[in-house]
Amino acid sequence: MLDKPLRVYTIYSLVVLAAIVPVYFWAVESIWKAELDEHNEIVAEKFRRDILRVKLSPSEWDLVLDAWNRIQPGTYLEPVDKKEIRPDSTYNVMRPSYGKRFDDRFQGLATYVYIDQTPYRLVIETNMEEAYETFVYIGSVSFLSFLLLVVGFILLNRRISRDIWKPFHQTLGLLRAYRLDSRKMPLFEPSGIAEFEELNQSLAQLIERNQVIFNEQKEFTENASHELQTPLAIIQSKVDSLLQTDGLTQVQFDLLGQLQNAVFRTSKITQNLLLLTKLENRQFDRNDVIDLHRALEENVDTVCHYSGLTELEIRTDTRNGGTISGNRVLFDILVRNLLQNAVRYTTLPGILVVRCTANRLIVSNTGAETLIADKLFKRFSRASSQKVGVGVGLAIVKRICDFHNWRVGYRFESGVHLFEVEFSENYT
Amino acid sequence: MLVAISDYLRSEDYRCDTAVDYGSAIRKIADYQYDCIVLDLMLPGGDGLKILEELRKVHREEGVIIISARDSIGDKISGLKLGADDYLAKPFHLPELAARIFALIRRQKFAKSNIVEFNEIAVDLEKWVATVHGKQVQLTRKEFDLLIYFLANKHKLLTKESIAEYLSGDMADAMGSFDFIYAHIKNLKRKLKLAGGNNYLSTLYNSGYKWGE
Repeated sequence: MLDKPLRVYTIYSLVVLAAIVPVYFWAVESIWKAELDEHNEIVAEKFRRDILRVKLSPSEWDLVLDAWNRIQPGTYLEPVDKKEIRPDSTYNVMRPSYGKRFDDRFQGLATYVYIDQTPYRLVIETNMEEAYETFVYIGSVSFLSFLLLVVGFILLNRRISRDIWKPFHQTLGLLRAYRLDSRKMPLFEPSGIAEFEELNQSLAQLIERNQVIFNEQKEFTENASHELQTPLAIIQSKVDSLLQTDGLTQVQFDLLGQLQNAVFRTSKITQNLLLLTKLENRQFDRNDVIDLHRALEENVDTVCHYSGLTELEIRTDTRNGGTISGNRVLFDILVRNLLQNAVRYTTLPGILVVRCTANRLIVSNTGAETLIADKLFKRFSRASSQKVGVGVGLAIVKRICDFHNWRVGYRFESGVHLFEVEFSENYT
Repeated sequence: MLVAISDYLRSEDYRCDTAVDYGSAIRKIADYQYDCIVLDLMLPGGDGLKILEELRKVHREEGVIIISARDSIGDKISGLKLGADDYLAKPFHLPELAARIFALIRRQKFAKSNIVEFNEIAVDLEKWVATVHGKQVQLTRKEFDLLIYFLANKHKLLTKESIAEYLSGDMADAMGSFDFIYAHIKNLKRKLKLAGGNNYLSTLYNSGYKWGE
């Protein structure tokens, strides 16, 4: 933005300079010509007056005029016939000049005088060049000073602009570095400029309001989690205690096992729902740098370790993974949900493949029948006739993708379920 | 829940002190030195994290396990950053808490011993090595964790659900079946037997396990 006014000024200066030079010279020349005409006219007038005082005989006049024409530079007298008399005229001519190699320009005046009742044409020519050269020098000096002014102006302007825009850039820097959950309000330095003061004030208010809302939402989800998970924890601990009582029957044992299972599932569902809420409230940053190759390897490793399913072959090809930016924790959740989902829906024996290109992840697994695509990413819907999952895993995948502006898609081709995630860099 | 936890731990031969709120917690910590502190973040009367901050500020050496019902991701990260040694989200199984305390206490740098012995079986928790009659047994990480789980919950009836959750950690989100734990348990028993150890693991009620003599 600093460049724009500077560019405009520079172009303007150049245009003015370019225009000024010919105009300058044209003006100067016109003025000078006018001055010379006046000068010639004065000389002619002086001649007319003074000639009346000189009394000479015609033969003496001839001698005098002959000598005059030969000696006096710049004037020339010649007798003319009466009918050749015309009004005065000025003209401009190039002529070889006395003592110089090249022709010079002369401003001339042709007028008619009477000497002893005989009409003569008096021609007065004044050399323009000498003064002309002076004018060139004067012009150059003016031009240079003007140039100096312009350059100085541009440089000063640039320096001043930089100083003026410093508070702006500082504000911009603070905004960029600001994190919603950083608990620290950005401190804008006071600048001397009213507009930036107002901007900073408005920004501070906006940020504070956002911070308050964010904190309230965060507190809500934390409290909700606490309220929901605590009773579950109590149930769990009672079940654990019951398990250790004496005289436990098989029936009681089985019931307690089912209780544990139910508590576990309820807890997971609660966690997932809260995660979805937080995603919707955008309570996450997206600033981690994620190396696809390494991150995927780690996650697949974790899944492999835990699956222990011998009939499931797991293949990975993540060498071409590039780096993307996003939230690392959410990324891990996304990948693990996709993998868990794939594991669940693989008919054994089967193959699970994790592949990635520079910015795309493909998880595929062999399966029996297609999943219902449009129900797939919605919460709690049964996307398959076969198994019941926790229900939110893929909804979370979808939300995480939405949050990052990534795209996720599913298709079923020749006995293989394919989930694709495209990581793009455009955040709105 | 405090009662359930402390009763269970006492039955595993731990001496337990309990505190029901922030104030009494601070006082107990100031007065005594412990081997391990189980800290609930939602303590009535104050924020559990502050206690953690206080502990670390004065460079106390107790191992700290945070338990919380709040929000696994955020709390885990901030807890670990503040210097907690482990994090367990509610609801959890008591045996799991016991296993984590067991491992934590013996992993501490200033622990009396990093080695746990059960008859001919010895487990070094610092070096991650298990031996039978002094001879090293090659265990995978999962098998090692499993062994610790059993040793930490001796004579307790353990369900396949609790073992599955313990082994899967964060991944426990509906791993379809429990087959994988059967495989790990089977392998562990086999390896211990091959190294000349006795079998201390018995199956009860069809899918329950108990480690003991």
